[in-house]
Amino acid sequence: MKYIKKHQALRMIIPWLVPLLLIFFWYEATLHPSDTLLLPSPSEVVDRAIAMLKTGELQNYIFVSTKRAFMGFFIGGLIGFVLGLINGLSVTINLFFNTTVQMLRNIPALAIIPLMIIWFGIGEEMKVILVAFGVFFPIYANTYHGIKSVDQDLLEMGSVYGFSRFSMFKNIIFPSALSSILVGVRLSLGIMWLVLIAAETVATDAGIGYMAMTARGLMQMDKVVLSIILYALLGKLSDVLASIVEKRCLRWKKI
Amino acid sequence: MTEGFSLAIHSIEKNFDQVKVLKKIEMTIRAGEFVAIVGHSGSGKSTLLRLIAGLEESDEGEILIDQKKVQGINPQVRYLFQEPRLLPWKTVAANVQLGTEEQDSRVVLDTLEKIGLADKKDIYPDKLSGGQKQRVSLARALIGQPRILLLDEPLGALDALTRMEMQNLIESIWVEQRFTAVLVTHDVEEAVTLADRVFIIEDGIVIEVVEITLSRPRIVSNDKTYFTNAILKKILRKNQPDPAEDYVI
Repeated sequence: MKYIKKHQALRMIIPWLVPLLLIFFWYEATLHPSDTLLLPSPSEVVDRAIAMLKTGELQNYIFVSTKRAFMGFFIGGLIGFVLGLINGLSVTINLFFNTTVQMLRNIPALAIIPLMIIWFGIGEEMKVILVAFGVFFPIYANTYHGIKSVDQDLLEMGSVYGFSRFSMFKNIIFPSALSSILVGVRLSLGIMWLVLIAAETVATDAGIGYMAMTARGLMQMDKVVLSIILYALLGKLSDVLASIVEKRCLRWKKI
Repeated sequence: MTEGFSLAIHSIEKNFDQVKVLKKIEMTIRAGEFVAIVGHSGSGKSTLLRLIAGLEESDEGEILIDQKKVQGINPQVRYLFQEPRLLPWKTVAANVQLGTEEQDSRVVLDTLEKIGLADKKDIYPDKLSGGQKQRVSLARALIGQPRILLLDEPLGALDALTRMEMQNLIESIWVEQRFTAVLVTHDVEEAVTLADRVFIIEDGIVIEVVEITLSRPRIVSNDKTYFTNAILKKILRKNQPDPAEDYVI
């Protein structure tokens, strides 16, 4: 353990050993040509990726999907954050909204897909709204919880020192809620991709989900597998992004 | 040098759910005086301090600070809590900065030097020991040059050695700045070490005021033990027989 702790390089490599091993087993399983009908070999998938990169198709799909994901995340996250904030800060407003939010929360984002298709068609709005709906709750709940669990002793200290309402929020309430808010962000990043994938597979005209569905129709298994790998990579990437933000914002914590 | 404010407490009463915590408390504290309030836990001593700070309102009576009635929080009055209550997301210097409107970082540094933690100004409170945290908290209270400092058992959670160091520090700063200090404690020896007068509170009333006529700084001596024992005797007399009467040597 000591040896691993000391070497930064080793710590970077070790987490990737298991994925590499999985790829190796995958490669092993597809050595026999008859097996590749249902499961393409890694090299086929790589070839397909390179071919699609050359035509610019792949970049386009990734771009379209990422844009949808983050637009939805931004809209849903913002609404969740603001609502969590005001519900956490004001008992009266909380009384107005909390029951409604708790009811909405129990509707799975995927359950409103039919409604969304009828209302908005299969265009961009429908996917963005679905993602927004999906990410709203984790951010709302964690913001609300973060604000509700502010240390009362610190608030009392603030009032002894004559803090204004704004300075109370800036110095005590927000920083103390921040770690909880970031947990919400991390959770909702996972949900963001999940909802988007579902929305894109049900009905779409571009994006990674569209790529997978059309490939299924044509039995292009390499393309189907490629889209799954893309989702895994994008998911991991957003998680890394979230943890970087977390580390920067919570420098004061002993991690 | 800032002068302390005088403090007058007139027939203060305070109830919590029908329970009378304070009953007609009377106290007059001179400007620049260091007084201690001792008593059993639950005797209402912390409540009294919270009333002086304006954190709570009394049901009866009035408190005058510098002849003016207390109404809410007074920026001239600072409160040192039992826990340091530092903001963990701010550095030591930024925490101390909270105690003043002054933006000059020189002032913060001066105050930190006074409490001997200037070299720790850029680290987060997480990395400090309990005594160091309480010292930062003291610096935050002192940087605004308060006229009255209220101390609510601020040394209660510290080990004996650190506590003695803190007592010396508080005394030396008080000698220098001459604010009025009100210390609530259950440690009678601490009260005798620091205070000019010790108020003994029992069941919500002041039962005795003891003048500590020792010169400062007060080192461990027979005289100090005399005062400590005299006060302890008064606190304990109601509930227990005097131990000295049982064990005649």
